[in-house]
Amino acid sequence: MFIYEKRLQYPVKIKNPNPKLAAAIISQYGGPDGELGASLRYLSQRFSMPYPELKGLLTDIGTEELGHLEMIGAIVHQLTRNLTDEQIRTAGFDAYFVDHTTGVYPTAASGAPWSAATMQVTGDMIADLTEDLAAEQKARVTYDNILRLSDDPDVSDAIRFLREREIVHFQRFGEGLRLAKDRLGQKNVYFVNPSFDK
Amino acid sequence: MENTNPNACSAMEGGLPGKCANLAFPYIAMQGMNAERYDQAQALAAGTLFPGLNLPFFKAVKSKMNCDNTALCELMALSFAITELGLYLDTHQNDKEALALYTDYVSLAKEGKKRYEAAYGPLQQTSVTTAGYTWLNNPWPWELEGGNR
Repeated sequence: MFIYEKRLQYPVKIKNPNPKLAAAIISQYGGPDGELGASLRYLSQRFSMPYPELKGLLTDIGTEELGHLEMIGAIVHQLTRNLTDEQIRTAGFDAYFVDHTTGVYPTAASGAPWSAATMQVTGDMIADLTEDLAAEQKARVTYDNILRLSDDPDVSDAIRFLREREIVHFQRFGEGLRLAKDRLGQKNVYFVNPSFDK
Repeated sequence: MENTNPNACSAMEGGLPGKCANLAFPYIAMQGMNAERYDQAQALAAGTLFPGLNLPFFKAVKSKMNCDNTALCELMALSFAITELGLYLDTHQNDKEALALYTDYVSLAKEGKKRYEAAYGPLQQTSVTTAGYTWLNNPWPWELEGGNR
């Protein structure tokens, strides 16, 4: 069950519209390492997790990622408000504008719409948690690159917050892997898949 | 920390700082139970409750979050501390001190939520007030005005 809370996780208050920056940041909405993929990855992987601490971790991080998806949507929405005719012709935004006006659509900055092919659910806790470690690092790099592109302190502040969450999640997934290994209690952790081989 | 000599470990193990561990398995150090913590406002500004996990990028400006003393920011900070401690507890369920702190934050956030709703209206659709069905009232969170509370 999910219940909506009518607030953001962290404030998004962007004074100056900047469609070119919005066209880059949209990648964290629907790009290969964005927040939509993150939330769907974790909230889907949790069904085959064999241990309670892993079910909890994937549920809780997956839920937080939905809040991050909302923050990225808010950033894109605020960066594209009240655009002039001149601004919609901005290089980098015109291609997005022709298909979506100023709606928020899950796509990569490079134009590919969001795809489940960017994520995996293997049904194996070690493979899934190892993917999750990589996913947090890839998202962290995307935020690093957005910080390189952004010259707006209002945008950079919210992006800096989201980037830091990737580092915390990486730590917790790593701890989750350690707990998983302790639960297996054997030297050869690849002997069975505890989600499948009962 | 001194590195274990991998030659002192068994054939299925290798050297990690401090001890031997299985080969072909990724290791992230477990965070200790007595890790230093920020207060909730500093935590929200940093993006983590734990100074030890605060690892910023050189291109990032220092947090300039101007979000003090409003009911929304107070609630955001308390809720963030709850989120962050909750993830910590998922992998440290036996840390009684962290659990006690989590419980404290949960009751503070309940109060904070009441103060926010009294000032600005419902946080959840079910928070019906005598003023009518105010759930629909603008601003919604993604709107610029939504952050100015």
